[in-house]
Amino acid sequence: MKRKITMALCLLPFAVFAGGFQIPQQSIKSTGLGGAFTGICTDASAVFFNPAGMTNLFGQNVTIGSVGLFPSVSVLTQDNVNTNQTTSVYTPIEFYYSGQICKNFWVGLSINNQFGAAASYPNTWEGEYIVQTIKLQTFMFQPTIAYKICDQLSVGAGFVYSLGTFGGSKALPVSGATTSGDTTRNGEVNLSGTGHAFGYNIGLFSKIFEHKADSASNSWGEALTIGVSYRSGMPFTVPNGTADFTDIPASIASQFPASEGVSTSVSLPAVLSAGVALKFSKGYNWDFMVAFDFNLTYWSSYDSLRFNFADPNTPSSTYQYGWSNATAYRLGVEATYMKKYTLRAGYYIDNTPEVSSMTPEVVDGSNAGFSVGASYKFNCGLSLDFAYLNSNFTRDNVSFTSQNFTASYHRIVNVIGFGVNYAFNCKCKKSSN
Amino acid sequence: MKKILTISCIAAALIACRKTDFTPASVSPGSANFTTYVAVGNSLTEGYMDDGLSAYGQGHSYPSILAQQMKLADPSMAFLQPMVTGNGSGYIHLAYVNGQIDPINATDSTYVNPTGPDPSWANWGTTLQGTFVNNMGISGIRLTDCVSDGGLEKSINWVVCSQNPFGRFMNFGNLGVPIQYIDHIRSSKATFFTCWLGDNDVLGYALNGGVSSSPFPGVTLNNITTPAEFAQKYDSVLTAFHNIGAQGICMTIPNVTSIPYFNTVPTFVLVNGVRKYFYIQTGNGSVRLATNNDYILLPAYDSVTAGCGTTIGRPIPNDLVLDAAEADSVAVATVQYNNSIKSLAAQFGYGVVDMYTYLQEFQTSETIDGISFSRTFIQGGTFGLDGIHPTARGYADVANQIILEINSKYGATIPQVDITKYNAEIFPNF
Repeated sequence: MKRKITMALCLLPFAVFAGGFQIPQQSIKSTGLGGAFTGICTDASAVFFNPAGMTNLFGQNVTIGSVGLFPSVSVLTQDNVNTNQTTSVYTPIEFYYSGQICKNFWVGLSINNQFGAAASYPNTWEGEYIVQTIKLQTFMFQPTIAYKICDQLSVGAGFVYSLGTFGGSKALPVSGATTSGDTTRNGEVNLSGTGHAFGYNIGLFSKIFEHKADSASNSWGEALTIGVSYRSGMPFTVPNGTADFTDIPASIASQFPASEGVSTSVSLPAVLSAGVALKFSKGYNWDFMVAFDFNLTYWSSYDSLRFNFADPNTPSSTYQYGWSNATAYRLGVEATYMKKYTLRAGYYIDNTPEVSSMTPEVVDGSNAGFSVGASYKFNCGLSLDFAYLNSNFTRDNVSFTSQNFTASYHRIVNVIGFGVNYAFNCKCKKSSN
Repeated sequence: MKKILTISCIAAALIACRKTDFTPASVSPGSANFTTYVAVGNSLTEGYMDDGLSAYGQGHSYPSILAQQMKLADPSMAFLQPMVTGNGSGYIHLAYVNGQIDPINATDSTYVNPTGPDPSWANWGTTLQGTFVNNMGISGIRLTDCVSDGGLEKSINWVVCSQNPFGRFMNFGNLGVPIQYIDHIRSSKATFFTCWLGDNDVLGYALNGGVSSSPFPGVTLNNITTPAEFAQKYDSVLTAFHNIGAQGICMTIPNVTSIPYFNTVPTFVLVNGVRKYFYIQTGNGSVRLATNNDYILLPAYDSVTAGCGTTIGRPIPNDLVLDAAEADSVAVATVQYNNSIKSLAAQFGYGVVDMYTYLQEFQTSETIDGISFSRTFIQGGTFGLDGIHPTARGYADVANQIILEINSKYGATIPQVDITKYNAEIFPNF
C-alpha cells in the first residue's frame, strides 16, 4: 500500500505583525497624561503625535527617551493549566527633533518604534501549534515639515519610512523525527524576515486663543489648543523571509526543507487622532493643563496574512483576522510650579481590535488605566521626564475561532519611561513666559 | 541622584506587583459518582489502534484518558485495564521505502517487523479472568453478542465471545453454563459507566463488503443486527446499569462509511481528465461500473493499483466493495440504532454524546488547538493505519467530547485534556 504523503497542514497562522503590538507610549510626557498629546505638543515628540504641533515649539528642541515595557501574561487553557508567557522586557526608544528655521517654518525628525513586542511560551503548552515565540520590531524614520499660517492654524506633514523585522516559531503536527531521540517530538517551523514600508503623517494644529497671565498682578491666563493628525497605514512587504523547519521526519522532508524562502505582505493600520488641551496659569508660579485625545486605529484593514513559500511543495497559508477598528480615549491633567516642577496624571480607555476573538500571539483586551508622570527642569535648556503607566485586564474563555483554541487571559503591563529634553539656543525669558 | 534612587525604588516595587497567574479551577465531580467507572464497548473502547491491541493503544484508550481526568475530581478512584505486554497483538506501522510511505502489517515478515505480535500475546488474558477490570471493551464484540434470553442464540453468543482473542480477559463460563457479557455488567458494581456498544452491529457487515461469513456451523457473522433486536438489547444493557444504580453516558454509532477505510480508494481513475469508473462485483454477484455511491474498501488498494477493476472480466470482488444498496442498508440501520440509543438514554436519564453528528464534522476538516483533523487516511490525524480506529489524538478528542457531556449532565467541572499532548501517526525517519 505504498503511497506518497502530502501533508495538508494548517501551517502558519502567524499574527506576526499584529495588533496589540502598537505601542502608544511614544513620549514620556504623553505617557504620564494617559497618552494624550495631539492637542498639547509641548515637546519635540509633537513630530510624531502631530507634525503641525512643532509650531508650538520655539527654536530647536530635542527629546530622547525610552520606555521599559514589563509585560506579564498568563493563560489558563482548557486543560485547566496556567501557562505564563516568558516575556522579555521590551524597550522601545524615541528620538525627536524639532527645529524652527524661520518665523513660520519648522523641520523635524522622528525616529521611534511604533510597533513592537516579544513573547514566548514554553514549547509544551497547549497552544504550541499556534505560537511558541514571536518577535516584532519596527523602526519608523520620519522627516517632517510644519508651516504656521497664523496662530490659529498650522499645518505639518511627514514622510515615513519604516523598517520591520519579525521572527516567530511554532510547532508543526508531524512527529517521527529522531534527531532528539524522541519519535513523538513534533516538528517545528521558525520564520524570520525583514521588510519595509512607506507612509506619511499629516496634522493640523491651532492655538484657538491665548491670554497670558500677568506675573506682576498674579492674574489668571488661559489658552486653548487643538490638534488633528493622521498617520497613514504602512503596507509592509517581506520579500525575502526565511522559513526553517526542524525535527521533520525524513519521509515527509521533501515538503518541509530545512530552510526555504518565504514572502508575505501585511498592512499596519492607519491612526487618526484628535486632541484638545486647555491651559490655565496663575501668575508666574502656577500652570495647569487639562487635555483630551481621541484615537481611531483602522485595524479592520489588517485583514489577512498570506505566506508564500519558495518551494511549491510546502502548503502556503492564508490567515484571516477579522479585527475591528479600535478607539481610545485619553484624559490627562498637569500642574507645574515655578516652571520647574511638573506632575501629571492620566486616565485612558483603550479598546482592543480583537473584540470577539483572541489569539495567544497577541494577547490584547480592552482596558482602562491610570498613569502618572513628572518633569523636572534643571535650567531653561535641560529637563527630565518620568512616567509610569499600568495596564491590566482579564478575559475569560475567549476563543481563537479559526484555530478552535479557547483560553482565559490575564495581562498586566507596567510601563516606566525616562526622557531628556534639550532646547538649544533657548531664550530663558521668552520660554518662561 | 537621590531622586533617581527614589524613583528606581518605586519602579522596582511597581514591577514586583505584576503577578498574573491563574489559580486553576477546582475540579468537582458534581453529582456524578466516579468510585467505580466501567466502560463497555468494542475495539473503540478497548484501545484498539492501527489494527492491533498494544499497550500504547490501551494507554491511550478513551476510557483510560477519561479515567485520568475523573481522577482529578476523585483521586481515590481506581481504574484497571486488561493490559497487554508491549506490542500485544502487533499492529501496523509506517515504513519509508524508496521515497514512499508504506503501512506494514503486524504479520508482515518481509523484513524485521518492529510492531509484530509480542510473544506473550498468544496466552494474554487468561490469567486476568476473575480480576475485575474497569475497561470491559472487547474488540469485535457486537451488541447482539452481549445478551440473549436463552436457547441457541445464547450458545452462539458464547461461541462468538469465548473464541474472540481480544476478550480472553473475561470469563464467559462454558457452553453449558455461559456467563454473558451483560452478566459482567450486572456484577460490576459500576457507579458510573460509558457505553459505546453497537458499532460492530453494522461495521462488521460494512468492513466485509456486505458479505456475511460463517466461521462455525450455525454461527453467522457480519450481518446487520435488526434495529428491533438492537433496541431491545440496548434496553437490556441500560436496564442492567440502571438496576445497579449507575450513572452514565451513551455514545451514538458513527456513520461508518465516513471513515478512511471506505474513502481512500477512489471509485474511478482519471484518464486524460475523464473519470473512468472501476468494474465492481455487487452484493448479488452481478458486475457493473461503480458509481459515486459505491465504496471500495481500503484492502483493495494494492489490487486496484495493480489494475484490478479496469476490465469487466476483472471486477473488484464483492467483499472489497460496499455497493450502494449495501451502504444504504448500513446507513438506514445506523440511523435507527442511534434513534434507539438517544431515546433509551433519555428514558433512563443518561447523557448522550452524539458521535455520529460529531464525526460528520470531520468529513471536511476540523481544527483544534491549531491542529487540523480530517478523515484522510494516514495524514488526517484522526484515524490510524487501519483506516477504522482513531489515533491517540483522535481518542483524546473522543474523551473530551464525553467530558463535555459529563460536565453538562452531572454539573461536574472536569477539565478537557490537551489534545496536543497526544500523537497522531508517527512518520518514519528512514
